Amino acid sequence: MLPWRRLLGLCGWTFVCGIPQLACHAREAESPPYKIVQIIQDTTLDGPLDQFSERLGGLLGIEEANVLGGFFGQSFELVTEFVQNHNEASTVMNRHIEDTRTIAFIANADTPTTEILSELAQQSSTLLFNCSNPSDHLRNDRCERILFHVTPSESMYVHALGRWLVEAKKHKSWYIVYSSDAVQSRCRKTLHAYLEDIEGISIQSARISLEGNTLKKQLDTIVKSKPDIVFLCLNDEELERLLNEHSQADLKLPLAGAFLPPDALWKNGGRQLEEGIWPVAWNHKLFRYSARDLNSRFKKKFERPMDSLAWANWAAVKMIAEAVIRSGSTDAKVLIDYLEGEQSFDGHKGTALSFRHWNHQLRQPVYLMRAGDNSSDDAWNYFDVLTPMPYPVQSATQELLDTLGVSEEDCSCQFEGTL
Amino acid sequence: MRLVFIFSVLFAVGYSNLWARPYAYVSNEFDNTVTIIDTADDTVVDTISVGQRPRGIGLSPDDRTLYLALGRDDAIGIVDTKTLQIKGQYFCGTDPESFAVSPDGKWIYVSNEDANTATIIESGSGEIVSVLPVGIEPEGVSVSPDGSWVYVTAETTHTVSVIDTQAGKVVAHILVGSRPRESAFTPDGTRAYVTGEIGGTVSIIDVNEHKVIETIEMKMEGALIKPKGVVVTPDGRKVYVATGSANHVAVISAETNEVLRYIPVGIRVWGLALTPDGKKLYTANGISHNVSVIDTESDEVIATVATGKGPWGIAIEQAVEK
Repeated sequence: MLPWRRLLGLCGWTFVCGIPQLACHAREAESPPYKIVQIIQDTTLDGPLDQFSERLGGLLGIEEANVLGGFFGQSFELVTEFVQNHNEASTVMNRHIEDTRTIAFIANADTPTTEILSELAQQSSTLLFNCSNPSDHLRNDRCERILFHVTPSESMYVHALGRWLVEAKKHKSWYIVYSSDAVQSRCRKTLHAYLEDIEGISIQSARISLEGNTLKKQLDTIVKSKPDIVFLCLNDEELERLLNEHSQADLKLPLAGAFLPPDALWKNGGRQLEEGIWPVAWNHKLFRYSARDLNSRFKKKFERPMDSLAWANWAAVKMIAEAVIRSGSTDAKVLIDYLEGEQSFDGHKGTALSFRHWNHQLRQPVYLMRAGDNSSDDAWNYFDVLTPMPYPVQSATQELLDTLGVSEEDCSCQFEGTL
Repeated sequence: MRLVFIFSVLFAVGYSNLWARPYAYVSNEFDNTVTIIDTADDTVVDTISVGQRPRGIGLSPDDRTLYLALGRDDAIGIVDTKTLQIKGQYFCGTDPESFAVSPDGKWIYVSNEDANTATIIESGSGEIVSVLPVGIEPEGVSVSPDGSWVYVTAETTHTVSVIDTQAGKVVAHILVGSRPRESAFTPDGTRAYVTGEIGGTVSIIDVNEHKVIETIEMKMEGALIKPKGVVVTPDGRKVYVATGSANHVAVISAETNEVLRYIPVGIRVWGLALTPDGKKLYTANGISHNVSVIDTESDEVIATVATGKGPWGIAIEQAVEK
């Protein structure tokens, strides 16, 4: 007898409507529902798969989509596929493309995998929603008309945090610490481009290297320059190392970064940081503008807080269902026209969300987080929401939302293809 | 016999004085009070404490009972408008936000935001006679002038659930603009207007057909319109829409469905109510903690009245003109 893990591996990890099933099982129904396929890439697939945030967000979304669909005689099914690499992802996607019930895919994957999925989606004229990858590369250089980005982009995060540090904190002297990988280079470039247009701002920057035994020398250099703010454009490994040494040396550098991982901050003395600030798409502590209602529904159903990944997957499922119901079609061309149009989406963020026609990025507020209540003993509740950006969010017009991220004139995306 | 005559005269005089000057009742969600404004001279005549987090507000057809949705008490509060004393509470399911009273005063229809239901209460006894599933996150409730239909908006499903009051069940769901908040029927009951807060829209519904016949997209340069409260004038010619954080009231022609103008009012305008003659409109400005009074002939603000904290909804006595 095959071990259960291996048996599942033969068919891929699949969940259908909350009940784990083998992907090779066919599901029969009198009136077949439209199928939304959620692909979750994780190199290790550690931990209970049915507790992945992406999965839970999708489940809440499909439940709410089916309440709406039920009013109008339509139903939707969420199929979740867990994959470890792009080969598995493309195999899974090809299999579902063959099913005429499949109307859209949701990707939670790295950049190379998302690129492959995007090409397959374009070839098969099946919508693809990116819910986890903030890469500006996907939105500018490798954009596809079939691909929509629900999660905020790298440049949206950088602009949101940069603007707040300039406008609210009045920081003049900046020190950018960056690494050489593509994502972090874009982070530095985006921030630098934003800051250099602002009068009175001085910028120093240094590339970090993990080659030595310690970052002491590099940290000493930063301390000596006495910057108002140290902006980190670093990958996870570099951040972990820097935060660790920063904590051990009991430094009090004011740190901020577009991609600070909360776990690393928490483990490495985040509460000692004068400023440990970073942006997110969603947080379970949001309560204004009906965020409380959404957070409450998620917590009630899954007994855990809603995070950014859960929010993006919830939002994508609901957008797909609403687009189908409101447009009265499952045809990709019709759905794209609908999504590119003036229809707004309610993401419980207090303002109307819509897709930018030039690169299909969802316009939306993001939230700046900071280290919070010292008495909290877990990473979930240790951090507080500092402010939404742009501000004031309750009256954020499209123009104001478009101050975050790549503008139409700076965007290099050219949609090609027949759709 | 003589005593009865004297009592009758006093009673009639007392109520005629009261009815000659309809009062506006404003629910203040942040300080748990109701501000009472005399609409004759727009002065505050009293402020009373009620239950926890009053938002939805309405009157019985004879104006003798004021009802309040008390979100944190899970109840409808009942106030005697003559004595301004709290008479009691009707428990009505979790987190009531809005409700409407039937034209004959017998029924109260309540939306339960957390439970995705509408609860029907018998107003005399407080007995719950029915709980109906509606869309997700139900909010605004309104009743057609003849009492036949009840509309319950649902913010997350962007729907209006239509309750047939004779059958006591939901008979239709209508897809409207994103995040519908409130609805209002025309005096003849043939049309209804539904505000869509995130969509920035007003959907016009053919009541007999249960379908949207037109959608008004509201735009104002430099501002984000977030429609919330809506009322129709007694002559059916104009529709007023509160624009939320855009801090204006939109005036819509019911004949052309065009926005005629935007009137600047207080900050975060939500609740609206008209005097029975339709000559004055009152707006609840939640963040500036006041009420703007608009002359509906000129469509200009003629007074601003300070209220308690967080004015949310307004109900104005209507019986005087009936």
